[in-house]
Amino acid sequence: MYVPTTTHVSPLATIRRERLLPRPGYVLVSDGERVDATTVVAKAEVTGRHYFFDLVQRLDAPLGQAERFLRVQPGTAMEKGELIALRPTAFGLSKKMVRAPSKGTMVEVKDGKVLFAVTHPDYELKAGFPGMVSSVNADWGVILETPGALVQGAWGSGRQEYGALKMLINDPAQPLPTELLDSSCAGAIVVGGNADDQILRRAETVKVRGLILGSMSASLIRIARSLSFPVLVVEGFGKQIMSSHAWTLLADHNGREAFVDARPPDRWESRRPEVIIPLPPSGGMPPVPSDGQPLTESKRVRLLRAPHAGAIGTVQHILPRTHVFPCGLQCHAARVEIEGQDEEVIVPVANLEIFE
Amino acid sequence: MTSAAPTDSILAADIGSVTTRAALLDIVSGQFRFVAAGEARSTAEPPFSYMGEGVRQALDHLHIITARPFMDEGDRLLMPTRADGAGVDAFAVSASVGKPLRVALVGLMPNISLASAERIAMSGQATIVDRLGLGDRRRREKQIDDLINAKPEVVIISGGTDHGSQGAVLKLADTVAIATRLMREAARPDILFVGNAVLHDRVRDMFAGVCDVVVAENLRPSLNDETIASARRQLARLYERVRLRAMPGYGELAQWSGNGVAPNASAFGNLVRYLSRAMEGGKGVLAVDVGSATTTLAAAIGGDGSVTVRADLGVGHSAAHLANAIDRIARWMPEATLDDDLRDYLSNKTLYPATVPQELRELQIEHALARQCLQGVAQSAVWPAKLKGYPGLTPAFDTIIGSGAVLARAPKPGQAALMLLDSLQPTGVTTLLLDWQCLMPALGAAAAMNPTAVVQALETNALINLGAAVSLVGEGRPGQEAVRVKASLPTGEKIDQKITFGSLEVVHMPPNVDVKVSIQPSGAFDAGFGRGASKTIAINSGAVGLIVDARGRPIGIPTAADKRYEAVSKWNMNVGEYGL
Repeated sequence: MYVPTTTHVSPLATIRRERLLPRPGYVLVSDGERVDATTVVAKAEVTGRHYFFDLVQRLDAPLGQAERFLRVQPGTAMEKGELIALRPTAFGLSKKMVRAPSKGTMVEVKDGKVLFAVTHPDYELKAGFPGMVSSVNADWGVILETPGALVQGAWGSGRQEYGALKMLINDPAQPLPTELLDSSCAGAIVVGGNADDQILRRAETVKVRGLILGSMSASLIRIARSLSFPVLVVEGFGKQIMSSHAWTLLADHNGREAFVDARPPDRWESRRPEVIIPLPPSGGMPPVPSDGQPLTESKRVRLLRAPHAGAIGTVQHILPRTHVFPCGLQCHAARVEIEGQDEEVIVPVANLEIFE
Repeated sequence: MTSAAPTDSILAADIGSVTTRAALLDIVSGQFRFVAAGEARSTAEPPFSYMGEGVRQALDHLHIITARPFMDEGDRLLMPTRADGAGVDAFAVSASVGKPLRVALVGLMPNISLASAERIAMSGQATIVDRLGLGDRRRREKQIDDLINAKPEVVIISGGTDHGSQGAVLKLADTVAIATRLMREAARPDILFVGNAVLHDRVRDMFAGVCDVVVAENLRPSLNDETIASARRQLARLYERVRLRAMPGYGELAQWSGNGVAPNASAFGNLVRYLSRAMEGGKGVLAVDVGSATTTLAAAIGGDGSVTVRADLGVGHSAAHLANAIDRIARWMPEATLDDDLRDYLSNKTLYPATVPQELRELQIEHALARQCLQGVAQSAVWPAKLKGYPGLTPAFDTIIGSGAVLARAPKPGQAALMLLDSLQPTGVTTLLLDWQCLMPALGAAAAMNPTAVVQALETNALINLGAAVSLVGEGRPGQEAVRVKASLPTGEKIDQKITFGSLEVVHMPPNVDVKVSIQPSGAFDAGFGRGASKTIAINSGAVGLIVDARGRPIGIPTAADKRYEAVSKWNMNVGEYGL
């Protein structure tokens, strides 16, 4: 039994996604509540930088006595300017003071030094896409659920955005023409085939909200990560053409709002870069996409390596014995009929993923 | 690890980033032998998120191969062996799953205690996330904030020779203590203290109620001495506790083994130490394991050994990390390869780490990646002090063992031999062995309960002999005779071959025959017996034959592209037989 990874490109599914804080906080929504993409579902306090204040020096106090001039106890939350310590000078004619440099907490005092932690504004976690809260994890966040279309990708530059999809070209094999990226793309999630550095920079200039590509050169990774919007690569690196399934699905929803989660894949958190297009409920809830299925005959698969990288096909037969490939490699393989080419090829099972 | 009762059959499993393997060792004609191995895709990651599932699938595969069932009706491991032959007597397991341990290093001097602490971190599957030392120019607040943001899981605090510095070590430890108190309780690291022994109690007090403190022998009891073994064992235990025990499925596997789940790197290192005691020769054993996420090197001589793990080097999950070494990868290609194409290949391999090359060009890229991983780990290696060799070159070893799928699945045995020679660049006479079933980490775990069984299995059929390599040290002119090789084969055939400087040749022999070979280097060259010194040695021809590497050390790879393609193509053809 071989269990490959599964990539979902689904026109209608029940999509459930965790929306979690990076550190424990508090959840602002309830089980069953409907939320919009911009609803803040959870918040967490964020501690910023720390500062030491040398009381001996700042108060000109004798070593070992500085702590008696403290005006607050360790653990006290403070506003900017509030007194931490005060020492009247001789005859009480003047005072030496240490004040909170910003909102924060006086953490501890040790050896005449105060440790102060600056408090940042709360981290706010937005829903990201409209849906229903299907469960609440009290300290961490929620699971949101929506019916919708789903396109899972291969790589993401690391951001998340919600906006209207905009198809700029009709052919996924074509590179995105720079001249089409104009002010009409501002605020949109633009879909294209392949992109170069000029296109990435142009997209930044016209303030797109996201970019979904079939593929791009790995040499552009650094630029893509530096952009203010998410870049999601559906197939992989190089010059791979977006599958007609993903392209058609995105084109069918041209103009509709979509959530682009371009956080990089994390194999330990089961996270894939993906596009979620929430759809209105119609009748019962559609099925939840399933992972962890064994490779069997008649499964639709995507081929991951040259010479057929990106091709979609159907498993006709899993070979009972190992197969020797032209490079000499000997491994378990399957015979796959490639869609649209009327061709059958032998492919290592390691180079297949289930595609549904 | 503790010794268990004598066993008649052993099941040894290794859970890797991509593949889970299970090997059966059993007694055949009075000796332990490797019987067969099954494998499956590892399942520690989602959607299974359960290590045991992959082991079960590998056992199903092994069941199909051997017709011997290993699980009972309740899906539990059958142990001990039943009268009908089903099941096994003992189970051992190693694993290298999960993200590398996030380790922060604290020490006094960068090139003394901090350097020793770094060597400890690199003996396990770890990523160094922060360093704090006496020469640190950051303000103390910044040191604290950086340490908090680095999110270490273990902080190794070193520094102070025995009877040496205390105050400076305690001040650095106090900075760590403040940072840990400011961390969320669930995010606080474990402390591994490996500094001045008189400070153990004071360091424990400093972290009392905040972090767990583990102590090991002082890494630097004096400026000139380094004691690594105790700290390495403690770090391996911390890896098992912090990372492996948190993995779903650990409990069941640990129960089956009765001995926990051994960290892959320490199991690998233990096995190499056993082998260095068991194998004859006196020069030591070097073993390398090229994995998807990590590359491990273990070297040992007479039972003393070291392990170096590069958690950032691998041919699958970690392939994209090699993007900064494109030039070094491209130099092993026999034809022009665009840098952008190589970058795309590396990034795609990280996205799809389990995939394998189908085309010759991709196979050659994959093998070039393996060379770079091996060179990287060799450059970071800590060599046992007893090893001998030329300064700046890989020490001399009797035996080099290659493990990992990229080596074991190489279509031709010469390709595996060539990857080892190109990257590790051994000197003198070396026997090259291949762990063809990628079992060494699993066997390392099994060796903890029955070392004799494992050594017997390795000596019989668990390793393939690729052949012997004679690697010359010395400089000459291209075309100048570097060495003359004479031999009489069991068939009566005489061999008398002159090898010129700059070339890499195979002295062809029937496979796996014992032959006495006279090695006669020219005056400028050393074949391991001294410059210009000749010797007759006994070798086994293995699968490839006798490989004579007269390319010099380090290997002089031509810088001009056309000459480099020509040289690499010739080496590939002579030893690797690519495309044949």
